This record gives sequence, C-alpha cells and structure tokens, in this order.
Amino acid sequence: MLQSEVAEQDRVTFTRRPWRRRQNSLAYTLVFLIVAYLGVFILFPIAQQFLTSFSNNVVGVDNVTWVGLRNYERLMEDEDFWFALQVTLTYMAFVVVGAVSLGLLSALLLNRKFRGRNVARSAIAVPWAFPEISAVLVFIWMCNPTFGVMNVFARLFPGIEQNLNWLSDPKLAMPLVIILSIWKAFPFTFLVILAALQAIPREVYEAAEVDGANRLQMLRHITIPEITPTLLLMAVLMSIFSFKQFTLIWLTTGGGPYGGITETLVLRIYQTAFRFFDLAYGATLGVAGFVIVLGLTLLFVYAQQRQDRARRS
Amino acid sequence: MNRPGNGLLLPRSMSMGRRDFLKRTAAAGFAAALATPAIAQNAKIRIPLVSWMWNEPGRGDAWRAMLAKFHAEQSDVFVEEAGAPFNEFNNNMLIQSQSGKVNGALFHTTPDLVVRLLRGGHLEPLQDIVDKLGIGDKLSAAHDHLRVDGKVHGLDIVTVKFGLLYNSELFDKAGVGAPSSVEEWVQTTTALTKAPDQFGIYSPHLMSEPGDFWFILQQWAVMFDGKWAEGRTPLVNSEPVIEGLKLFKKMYDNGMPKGTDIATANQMYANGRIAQQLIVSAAVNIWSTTGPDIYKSLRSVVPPGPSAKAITRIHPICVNAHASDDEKAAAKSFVEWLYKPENYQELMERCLDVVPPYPEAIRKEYLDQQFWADGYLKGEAITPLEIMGDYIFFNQEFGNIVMDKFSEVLVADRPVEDAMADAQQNLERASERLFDGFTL
Repeated sequence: MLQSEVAEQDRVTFTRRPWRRRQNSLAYTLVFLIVAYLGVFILFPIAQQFLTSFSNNVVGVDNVTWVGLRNYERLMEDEDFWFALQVTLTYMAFVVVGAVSLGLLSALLLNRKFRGRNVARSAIAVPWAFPEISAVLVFIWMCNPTFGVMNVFARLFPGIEQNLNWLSDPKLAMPLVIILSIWKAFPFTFLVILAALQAIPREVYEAAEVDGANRLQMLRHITIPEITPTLLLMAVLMSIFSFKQFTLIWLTTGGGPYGGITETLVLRIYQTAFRFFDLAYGATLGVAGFVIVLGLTLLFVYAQQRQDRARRS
Repeated sequence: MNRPGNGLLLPRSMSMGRRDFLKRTAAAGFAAALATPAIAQNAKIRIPLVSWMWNEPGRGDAWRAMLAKFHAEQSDVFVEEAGAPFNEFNNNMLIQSQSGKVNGALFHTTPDLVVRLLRGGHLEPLQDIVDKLGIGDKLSAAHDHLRVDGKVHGLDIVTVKFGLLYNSELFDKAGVGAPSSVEEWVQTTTALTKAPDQFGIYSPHLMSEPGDFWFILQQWAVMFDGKWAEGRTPLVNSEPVIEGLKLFKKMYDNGMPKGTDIATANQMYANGRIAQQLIVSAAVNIWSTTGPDIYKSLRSVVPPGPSAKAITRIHPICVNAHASDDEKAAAKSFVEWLYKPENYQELMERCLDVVPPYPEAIRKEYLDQQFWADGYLKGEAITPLEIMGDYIFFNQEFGNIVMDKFSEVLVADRPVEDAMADAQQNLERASERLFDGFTL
C-alpha cells in the first residue's frame, strides 16, 4: 500500500471517529432502554414472584416473613394443585391436537384452487380476529339451557327429550370449553400452515407426479415432511397459548361447574392470589407454571435446533 | 422550500420540526387547561374520590350531581372521579392495602373491605365531623364496627338491605299474593313459573359469577336465622344453613332459569319474564333507569323465612389516613358538607335509597312515595360481621368452598347435608392456614 493511501486511510479513520462514537453511544442507549425495559417489566416481577413464594405474604397477615420452602411443601401436598395440573394437561392436549389438526386440514383444503377461495380463507380467519369476551358471551348465550340454540339442535337427536344444562353439566363443561378454545385458536394454525404449504416448491410435486405418485403419497412423502418444522412450532406455540388461556375458561365456567372440573393452573393462580389474597401461595403456583412454560419453551428450542441440524446434514 | 431530509417532501408549512412540535404541544396543553372547568382552576386543592359507583347507572349520575352542587357552593376543594368497576374495586384496594398505602384522599368502601382497611390503619377518624354535626348518638348501629376507641372511622353513604323484590303485575295475573312464609313462597314461585316463557324466581348460581353467587347465597341461610360462621368456627353444616340451601335447591328446581347468567336474568326481569329476585334495595335504582316499565310494578316484602332477618350492609365513605394534611382537611370538608341533612337527603333521593344513616337524613314525604320499599324497611337488620365471624376477612375464600360444594347439589343432585359436611371439613382445614399469623 502506498504511503499516501495509508495516510488517507488514517485521516478518514480519524475524521470518522466522532461519528462512530455517536453511533456507539446511540447503540448503547438503545440497548440500555431494552435491557431496562426487560429488567423492570419482566425480570423484576419474576424475581419478586420467586421471593414472594418463599414468604407468608397473605393479605391480612401483619408480619411478612421468610418461610423457606414451606409453600413448596404445601404445593407438593396440595391435591387441588395436582388436580388443576391434570386438568391443564388434559385441556392442553385436546386443544393442541384439535387446533393443529383442524388448522392442517383447513390449510390443505384451502390450498387447492377453487372459486371463492379467498373469501373462504378470510372467513376461516374470523374466529381468531373476534374478541375473546364477545365470543364467550355469544357462546354462553348459545349454551343457555332455556333459550340457547344448542338445545334446538340437541333435541333433534333421539333420546334427548329435556334441555341440556350445557355449561353446568360436569360431563359437558370441559368438552365445550375445549371446543370453544379450538374454534378460537385454529385459524392461527391454519394461516401459518397455509403459508408453509405455499412455500413448498411446485416443481417437487410435478416431479413426484411424473414419477407416478398419487395424492396420498405426495401428502405423506412431500407435504408433511416439508411442513413438519411448522407443525412442530404450532404444537409448541399452541401448548403455551392453551397453558396460559384464562379468559375463555374463566368467563364460560369460572373453573366449575364444581370440583374444579375446568379449573386450569392459571385459574387456580388467579383465584389464590387475587380472590383469596394468598399472594405467597399464588406466587408459588406461578413459579410452578413458569417452570412448565419454560420447559415447553426449551423443548421448542431443542426441537428447532434438531431440525436445523437435520437440515444442515 | 422543502426541509432537507424529512423524506416526505412536504412543504415547510406542513412539516413539523422538534421546536414546532414542542410549541404546538404547549399551545394544545394551554388550550386544554383553559377548557377545564373554571371551578377546578380556582380550587386550592383537588382530591380524588375513589369509588365503583361512577360506573353504576343511576347512582353514578346522582354522585356527579352532588359533586356539581358541592363545587358550585365553594371553590376551595375540587373532588374528582376515580376508581374501578365493582368487580375490580375491592381487589385493587386490598392489593394497594397490602403494599402499605391506598390511593385517593377519599374512597367508598364495602362492609368487607372497610374492616380490612381499618385493621390496616388506612382510615382517618371522622369523629370530629360527627361531633360538629351533632349526630354522634343518632348514627345507625351499623357504624359500631367502624369505631376504634369510640371514634368512628367511616360514614355510611348507602345502606343496602335484602328483600324479596317482586313484579306485582305478574303476581296479579297469576292470582297470587306476596308470600309470608316459606311454604307459601314455594307455592307462589311454582305458580308463577311457566318455563320457558316465565320463571318464578332468579338467584345467581354460576361458578363463573362467584361474587354475586356468594353475596346472595348468604341471605338464604339468614332467612332461617342461620350464621355461616361464628368466630373462627365454620357453621356450614348447621341446621339453619342446611335449611336455607335446601330451599334454594327447591326454588332452583321449580322456578329458576337454570344456567342463566346475571346479565341475561336482569334482562328477563326487566322484560317481565322473571317474577321475583332476592336482592338488595340499591338494585331498585338500576330498574328505575334501565327498566322504567317494570319499575312501577315493583314491590317488596321481607325475605319470607322464619327469621325475618335481612343482611344489611353499610358502605362507608372514608378519608385516607396516608393523605397529606391538606388533602385530609379537604376530604373532611366534603364529607361534612355531604352529611348535612339537606345534602344527604338529596343524595338519598337521587340514589333512590331508603335506609338512612341517621333519622334526619331522609325526608318522610320522600319515603312515603317509595311504593316498592315496604319489605326493605320492615326486615330485621343483621350485618355481614354477625353472620361471618372472623371469616369476614376471608369472605371470598369461604364463599368459594361453600359454592363449589353447593354447585354439586344444584347440578349433580347431591344431598345438601353431604355436600355441606364436605364443605365444613374443607373450611376447618383451611382455617388453620387462613388464621396462621393472623391477629385481629
């Protein structure tokens, strides 16, 4: 390199330094804001929750003190907690399977060309866009044992002579909450899976067709393997969404009709902390929930990494 | 000329630089300040009145009218609306209380909440107001639990009392009269039920509406002179409570629109499709504004059980002990003004209330006009503290245990005795935990 070029480069570097400093300080400021936001609104409440779970913080108790693992011992012996966990896992399993299957089925159907396809695609996304509270209010009205439309249809079936008490029936309450949750959630899986289907190159299908593959074989050997990462992502996301679901369950059954039949862990946490004001035990239940969601998230990260490794190899 | 770098190539007059933005914001702020009522500008101090009532039809407007009158009569203090709807109000206040301080210089409270706030040291004594107005010995007995060392710490702004509120037009059509005994009540309710067009009675019964379910369920046992707890001993398997719950179940089976939520039931009541509700007097104000057609047909009788007792809840206005001295003085000046007979009478009339905190707070002529109030005035008052014992501090948790087991009675036909035996056991187990470290 010529000396004059080196000198020119030095000069340029020198002149750029203040600009770089400004750029760096801007970057640090922006990063600081994000870290501060995360610290104040995410990390601090989580830390506070952990700390509270080791105390006897109940509204009405005067001296809040450190009680060690007492709340966790109570958690282990708490039948209601284990029952709520069982309810949560059952609810999650059905919602995940239901929402992903229905999303997949709808996406496969609406990926085909037919007249009115765009209208059908828009219509299917409506439940997702519908506000949860309005959806629940309409659903409750439909399930009303006296005036609800559900009984009009139910009574068409042989053997049903009296109006069913839908949401107050211990056998029907959970299935209904699951159906409502799937109806509300599946448009999201539909949209994402549809996008994944559209990303599969057309040429792959054309090559398979030339090789004599039928539609079922193409679905099994091309479509499903190609969208497996998306299906996996949907399964994990739906698990997290359904684990966190509060509004739909609380407004339809409030955890009842009795015995906590539809009381998931999130409802139990709310009841404990904000209706019974046992903040410490509510926080302990929250920590248990946090661990479960963290487990699901790690599962997702692991599955994604595995997919990436498989794709690279 | 275009401002370089704005990217939009707007004429200079339409683009907005930082200084322009600041100037315009300042101008807008100044204009907004000018637009606020002059009275608020002149007031030496502004204090919030934290309440759920602003959201209630009828009652919210009545309170706004009273504030307007207060502001018109003086210009030193400006009282502002603040708070949350009823369902969130208690929770918000309790959580604030747990953090050590509650918001607002003035707030409305409920019977359950006020004892907790009193216990937490959040309430300023109001005895000086009572002494100044000379009503110390006239205040209703319901204020007794608000006294510490003889000083009252809250003053009632609405007493709500249970009664059986019925639609006299439906009763006349069915050829039945107001019930005076349990047997008569069951017969009347059955006669008034022509499902699905008309139902004899409604009482909340869904676990998705636990606040109202428990609030009204408590009265069913009181009709049989029942108490839900005494001190720290739950009494949910005692005979009067069982009797009350059996009656509820009978009414549920024979006369209620099962599985119906409160909003729907209220609409049905307003449309004349439900004949009776066991409900508090304050609800009548809602019908007067939202159901004028039914309002003129409303009548009440004492809840028709052997005890003739009706749960009576006072809702006090309180001054925050953590407010500054100036705020406390301003808040007290409002309470003192409100408690003068002429102002309190106006408040009661605007709210359609019928149970005064002291005799001069209600005009006889007004009371005589309240054709629906008879049953509310005749019932023998009993307070939540008398029926809940020390569990008044854990009212919701207590209620949840009872409602959960009672729901088995309603929807799975479990015998009341069995369900309440379970509830009693659960409550006894819970009491060890609830009262651990809890001192009165």
